[in-house]
Amino acid sequence: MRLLHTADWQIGMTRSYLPPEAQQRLTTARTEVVRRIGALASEQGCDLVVVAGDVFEHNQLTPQTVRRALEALREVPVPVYLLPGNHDHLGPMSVWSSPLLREELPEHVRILDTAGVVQVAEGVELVAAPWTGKHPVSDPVAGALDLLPEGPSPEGTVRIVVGHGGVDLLDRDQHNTVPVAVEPLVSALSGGRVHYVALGDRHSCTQVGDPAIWYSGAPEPTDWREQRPGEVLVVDVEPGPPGHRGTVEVRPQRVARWTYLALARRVDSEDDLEALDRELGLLPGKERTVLRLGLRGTLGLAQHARLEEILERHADLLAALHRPEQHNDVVLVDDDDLGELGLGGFLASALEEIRGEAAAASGPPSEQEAFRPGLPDDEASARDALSLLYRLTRGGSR
Amino acid sequence: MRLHRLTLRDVKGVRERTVDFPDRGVLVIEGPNEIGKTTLLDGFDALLMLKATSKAAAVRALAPVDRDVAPFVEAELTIGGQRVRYAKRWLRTPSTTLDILGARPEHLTGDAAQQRLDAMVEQHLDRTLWDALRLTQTGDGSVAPLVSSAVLTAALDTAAGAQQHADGADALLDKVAAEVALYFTATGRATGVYREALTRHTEAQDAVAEAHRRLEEGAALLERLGQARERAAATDSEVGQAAERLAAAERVAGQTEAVATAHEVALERLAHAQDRQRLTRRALRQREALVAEREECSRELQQARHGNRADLEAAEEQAQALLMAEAAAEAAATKVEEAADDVAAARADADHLAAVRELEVRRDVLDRAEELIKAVCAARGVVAAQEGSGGPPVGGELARRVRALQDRLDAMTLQHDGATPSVEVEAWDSVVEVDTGDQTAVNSVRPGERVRVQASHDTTVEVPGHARIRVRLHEEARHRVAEIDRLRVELRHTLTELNCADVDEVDALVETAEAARTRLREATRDVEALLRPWGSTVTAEAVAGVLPRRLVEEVEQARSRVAHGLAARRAGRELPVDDARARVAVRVAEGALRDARERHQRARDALARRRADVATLTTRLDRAEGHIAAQQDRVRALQTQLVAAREDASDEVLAEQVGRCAAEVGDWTRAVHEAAEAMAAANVEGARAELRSARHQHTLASRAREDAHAELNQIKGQVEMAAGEGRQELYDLAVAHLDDAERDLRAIDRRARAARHLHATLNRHRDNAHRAYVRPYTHALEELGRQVYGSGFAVTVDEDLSLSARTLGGVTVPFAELSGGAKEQLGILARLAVARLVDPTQGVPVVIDDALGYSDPQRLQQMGAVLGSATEGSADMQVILLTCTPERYATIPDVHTVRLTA
Repeated sequence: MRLLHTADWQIGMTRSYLPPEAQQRLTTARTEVVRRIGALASEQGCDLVVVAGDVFEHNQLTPQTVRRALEALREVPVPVYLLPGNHDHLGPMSVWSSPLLREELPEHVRILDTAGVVQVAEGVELVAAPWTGKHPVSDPVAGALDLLPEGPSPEGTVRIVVGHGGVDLLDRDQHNTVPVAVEPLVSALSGGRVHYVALGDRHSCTQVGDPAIWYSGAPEPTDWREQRPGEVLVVDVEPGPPGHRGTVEVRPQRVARWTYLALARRVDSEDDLEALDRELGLLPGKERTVLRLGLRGTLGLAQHARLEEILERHADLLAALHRPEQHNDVVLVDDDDLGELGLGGFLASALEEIRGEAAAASGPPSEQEAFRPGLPDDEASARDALSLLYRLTRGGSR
Repeated sequence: MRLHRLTLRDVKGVRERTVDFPDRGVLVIEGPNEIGKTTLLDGFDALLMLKATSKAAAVRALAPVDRDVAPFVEAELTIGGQRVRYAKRWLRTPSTTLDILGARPEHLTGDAAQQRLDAMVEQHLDRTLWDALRLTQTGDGSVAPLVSSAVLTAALDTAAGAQQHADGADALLDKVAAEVALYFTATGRATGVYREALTRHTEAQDAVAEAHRRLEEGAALLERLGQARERAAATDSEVGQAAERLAAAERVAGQTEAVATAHEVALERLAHAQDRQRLTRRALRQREALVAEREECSRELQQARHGNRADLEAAEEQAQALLMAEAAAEAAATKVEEAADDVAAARADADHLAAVRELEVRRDVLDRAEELIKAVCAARGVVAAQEGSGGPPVGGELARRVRALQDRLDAMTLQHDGATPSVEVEAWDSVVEVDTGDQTAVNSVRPGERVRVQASHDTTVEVPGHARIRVRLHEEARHRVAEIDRLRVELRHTLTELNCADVDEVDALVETAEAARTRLREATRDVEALLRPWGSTVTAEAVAGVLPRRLVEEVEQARSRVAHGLAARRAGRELPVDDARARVAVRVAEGALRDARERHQRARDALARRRADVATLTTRLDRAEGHIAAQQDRVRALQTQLVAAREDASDEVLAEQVGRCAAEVGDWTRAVHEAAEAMAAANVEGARAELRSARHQHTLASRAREDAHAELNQIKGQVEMAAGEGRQELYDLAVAHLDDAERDLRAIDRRARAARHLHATLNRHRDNAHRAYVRPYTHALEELGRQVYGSGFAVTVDEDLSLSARTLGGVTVPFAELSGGAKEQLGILARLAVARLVDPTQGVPVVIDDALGYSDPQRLQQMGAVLGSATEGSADMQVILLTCTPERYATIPDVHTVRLTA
């Protein structure tokens, strides 16, 4: 049989670094990718689609978001099985138990809200491991395995585990107190008890510990940390003889339209600025690219003005241009640019005063600090005033 | 530039004029109006500005209007350190010549001369300065803006120690101001995109706060849901436990129910037996009571009949006593009436005596009043007669005046008679007519008569036909005669007014009137004293001479009372001799009356008691008769009732039934005891109590469970509703919007603060520069001005070096509001200050054309001193003063003077 394995749709997700317009488009993209997944499933002849958790970003979603997701699901031409994950768990206020979803859920879409085996077709069983709450006390996947009858799967029956969560092989961080244990899964695969493990939670497409254990990754990226987001897995699974492994063939397929791109560059010269301008200009799909740009270097006033102009121009094209403080350190040096302006008289003395103030500036204002508008003039405003003076003197304007 | 010599020929009204200028110091060019002082300057301007070949109107204006000649101007000057002689002729045979003087002399003509000099002017003459340092007749004294003077600017920059002036500064400041205006209002408040960003940020913060509140509300709901679930589970458990206890209690209660039922049956039977026993006992008691009642009624009837007979006898005796008491009371009443009559008679006697006394008193008063009234009327008649005589009222004063007139007349007459001669006329043979003039003396003296007449008036003695002798009084005597006549007339008139013949009559009249008034006052006083007790009305009537009516009426009333009293007296009764005896008789009669009344009261009391006794006895007799009749009816009814009851059940039957019922009660009492013992052995009450308690507990637990589940369902509904609102997503979106608003605001805030920072810094430096830049000029001007106006002088200099205000003695006045004289003075001082500041080699002459016309002599003297000091010493300055009143500048020391004459 052939299935399409996907997870972590994170519908309803917001990101604070996105302007409202980009946020709106990315929200739309998260339902649009569902349609593309449906089309791919149909194109690839998949028997069903399993979504291994985190269909929704969380449980408290607006009716609009839920309805648009259901509308996209309605257009998927094959049966779809949705597993509650840690974001959309079955606890109180669960989206899965909301009247809206219960009443408007398409018939071919089923929620795997009960742990254990579910026969979804002749010779096809899903072993569901839903999250019943936000903080489970035990490994849901192991719990689901425990519900299986002893011994291998019935002859000719494909068993697919659908689970969610970090696995103990990869996620050794402290916050995940009950990771999914891989070893029992490998054992079950080896004994022909199950034949494929479809996992969710990790947004990067990843194989874990066994050729038949996979994270599909998120179909649209959600963060710059993700290694291989934007893919789904088309999986062919065939059961082996009773008591033996089955055969599994996994084919990642890219479905994402959006890109989270992180760039770190040095800017110390005009050439660097030119290169940066060129590189940004060559980025494909700018309007769907969320760029995190880290710049370090030393620039004169004119170069700094040029940099600002470049970034401003590209920011208009990109979905978002994010410049977190910890990734940026461009030092503004007092160079001859201002001298070339040929300011005389009191303009020269004013310039000297502002330069003196700006020289005391330690760097751009920290975004971590609580922002307060309209502060009195200080070193930071002096630095900006210097830049403004440069631009106005040269006849430019913002 | 320095001007050394200027020659004009055939320019306007000037035929030929040459003026030599000293290299430094003050030159006064004086001359009357229209002599051509200003033309000198016009000519020099034309020399520098107008080409010789020009036919412009300005050139044509140079030519004299009355002569067809070619205007010519020549000047010798130093410019750019080069001394030159430059000359032009216009219109006819125009020419231009330039002679470069000095070590390397040159002579140029035509365009070459023109071009060379133009180049020198262009290079070395600061036209702005040249224009500014000329105070013309048409100006108001103000100095043209000097900011474009390169020479002065350089001088001020040098004086300020640095180059303060900045090219393009104004344009840059305008740009910065425009940039600031994008974000701030004139008062520094946020506006435009900045305000929009601030507003959006604030709204986004509010939205996040609200979304967070909703989120927290949802979280609280979840917590409440958990608690509600725990409570529901706990109540479920409690209901289960209560149900188990109830089932056990019901089992035990079922087992003990049979014993309880037997006990209840025994109790019921016992109750029935006790009811029957009570009924039979009651019937027996009723029979016994009926018999006893009948016996009692019969006995009471006998006693009543016996008592009634004794009461009838007593009633007879009391009737007799009552009749006697009534007779005694009637006799006492008669005695009272008699005593009352005696009292009335005694009182009538006393009243009669009092009336007689009163009548006498009133009649006496009336008599006295009549006498006094008559006296009053008589006196008043005398007074009225005197006052009604037709003349004025005669009083003491008038009498004295009449007497004084008479005395004066007598004295004057006596004096006159003494002072005038007496004429003795003796007629011999004819009648002599004597006219004394007062018609009083003899008129004719018969012959032989001898008459002596007093010549108190002009007197004429005439012997008709022979002689007439006139004796004339002298002037004083005439006046006296006139006065005597006047007194006499006045006395006569007065007497006539008084209707008296002479003064004695007047005195008698006065005396009579006074006596009458005295009598009238006394009579009036007596009347008032007599009648004052009767009131003011009576008094007023009497004073008016009328016998008071009230007095008369009261006498009549008293008389009537006396007559009435006489008529009312009992016939034959002796009248007491006086009031005291009458009062004693009254008191004696009143005492007898009180005694009679007391005896009458006692008789009435005794009669009342008798009547009460009779009434009491009568009532008792009536009641006894009624009681006897009722008792007879009662005895008959009881007997009938007893007979009927015994027909139903005899007394013996009743006694037998009572005995039987008592036996039944004893049997069932024992049965109940036995059943109770059985129940106690089975603890039926304990089982029932446990059953009730278990049921109660189960009911409470069930209610608690229902409440808990109702609350749980309610909270579930709220949670479901909250979940459906998408609060987390809305919160995330609000946070995202806030971040976006903050990013936007951060960027705009940076730009706004940068603009503000730059704007503030540039303006501060510009102000500082301005202050430093104008300081030397201000200093120079104030230094000169203080020589004229004193130490309290200061000026405010604008950025373009124009004067905006003057301060004197702490009072600052805008330049435009200064007087014409003050403006001129300041204008001259400003030009001198500028001339002192600039490089002498690049400086130009200060030209003052016909100024200080409005300055007072003291100011003129002070200005002269300043003009002298400004140009003395090291000051390499050329000052040219044009004036038609040279005395204005008479106080300038070391002045050169050129006098222009026609």
